[in-house]
Amino acid sequence: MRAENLSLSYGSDPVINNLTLAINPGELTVLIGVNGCGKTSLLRALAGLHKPLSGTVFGAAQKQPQARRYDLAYLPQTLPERASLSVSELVLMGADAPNRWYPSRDTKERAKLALELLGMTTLADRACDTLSGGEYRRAALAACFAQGTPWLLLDEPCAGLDLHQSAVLMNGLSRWLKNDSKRGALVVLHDLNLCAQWADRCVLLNNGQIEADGDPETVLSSTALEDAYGQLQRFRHPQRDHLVVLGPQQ
Amino acid sequence: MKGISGIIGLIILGSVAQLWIGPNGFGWPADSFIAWQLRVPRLLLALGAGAGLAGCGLLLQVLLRNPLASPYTLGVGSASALGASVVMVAIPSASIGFGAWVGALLATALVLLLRRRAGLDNEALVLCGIAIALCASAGVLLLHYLADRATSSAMLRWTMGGLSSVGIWDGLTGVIPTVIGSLWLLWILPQLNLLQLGEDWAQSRGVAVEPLKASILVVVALWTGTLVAQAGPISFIGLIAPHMARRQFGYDLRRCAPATLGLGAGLLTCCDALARVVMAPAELPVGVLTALLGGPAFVALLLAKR
Repeated sequence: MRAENLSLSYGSDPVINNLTLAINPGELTVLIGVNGCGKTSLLRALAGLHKPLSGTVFGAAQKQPQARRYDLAYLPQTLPERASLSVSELVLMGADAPNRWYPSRDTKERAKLALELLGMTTLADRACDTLSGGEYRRAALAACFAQGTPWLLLDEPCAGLDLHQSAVLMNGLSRWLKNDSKRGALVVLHDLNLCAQWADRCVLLNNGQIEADGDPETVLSSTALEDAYGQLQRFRHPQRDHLVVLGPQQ
Repeated sequence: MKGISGIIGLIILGSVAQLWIGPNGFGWPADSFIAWQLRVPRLLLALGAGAGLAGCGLLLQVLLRNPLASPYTLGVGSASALGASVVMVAIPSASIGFGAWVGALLATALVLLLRRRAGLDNEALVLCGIAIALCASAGVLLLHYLADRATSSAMLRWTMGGLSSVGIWDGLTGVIPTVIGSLWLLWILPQLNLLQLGEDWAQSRGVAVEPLKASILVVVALWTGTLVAQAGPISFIGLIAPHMARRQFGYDLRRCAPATLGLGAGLLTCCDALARVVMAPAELPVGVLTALLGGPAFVALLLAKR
């Protein structure tokens, strides 16, 4: 999946300028950047939901929605309003072709596995409108897993989650990727420490352009990060072997 | 199971009441003309119009993601009243139903055109519908002002809705569009299920959202227009039946939609039977009764939800 010389805009306001990016299978690629830098627009363009101003998106976005659904699953930043659907209904809904009334046996199996990966099996029969925010995000991610696609595009899956819920979700995502080397994911995160802990590759977006791209260690210790976020404090975690980034000092 | 038997019971109760209730009491009419040319067509029209209005209400609630949407949200009801009024005032020899049908279609064509040209989102579509309804209502008022007293009275009576029908064909005009519309609704249910979770959600799961939305608007216009042409703008059924069904059967439309159709048919059939007895031997316009009962019932439903 890749975008070449991609430019996006909302009306006359440019969001992404002449950006080129390729996402590789087998990798958890994390997209970071300040609010409004174009992360969601880029994700939507890769998902075929935002028409480019210029440039090309290669891969699933070139296909019709009916065919695209077999290539990529997309988790929007704003989740559907919580209806009184059960978790398993939400996960199964859309896990199969959209003209199927009842899911196939394979789909049910995929849905079961997705719920297991995210620790949601015991909540399968709970109504979505009775779940906590974190549980609902995990249910929505399980719906993406159940789609059975090789690619995942996740827009802020950890938004509003506590440390534990975020870790459960990222752990499930990591396990999902490891189950098949052909799978790849592009995930928008705001928590740079989650990025340091879980990403295989980190892409820093600033003003609609890629400022840094590489392994998380390199990107998170680059000066480009401070150009985007301002002054930061960084140090290495004494027990775990990864970088810890603290927010800008006022 | 309890919910399904309730809906079936409601339909049976309404149907029996419709067929057996007459101006001279309760009983199967001795005259076969009354039975087969008056009561059976009226029952068919009540079943078809009730299920149809409920189905259209559900479709628009899902399309607009607005629980307050009804078949008339996009101005179809007022536009059809304007169409019918124009015919009554200007072309008395023409069919009132045809005028109403043309009015409904023109309103939807206008909504579709505005949506396509201006790229309107759901909220703007609703506002656009309100604007069309206001303009059409103003047109009806103007025609009331211009018309003589008898025509004005006929126009007013038409807007109250009614299921009086003569001949089996009148009944079938309610049933045929509803059978076709319901089959289409059942066909697209899995896609509607995804659409009610959001357009991005649906599109990334294989739904061609824009063609689906356009087809819903066209189907609702044809379906509602045909029913309103025959039965007049009957209110509340299209709003309340989807809410009642959702409350009993949940948000999964594979269960909720068939229940909505059944509830709509049962509610309108019962309301029409009641409209015939409540002021007997006179007949209360069914549209008045659905509004009278529907308003408090809707509030009760909302309070019960809390």
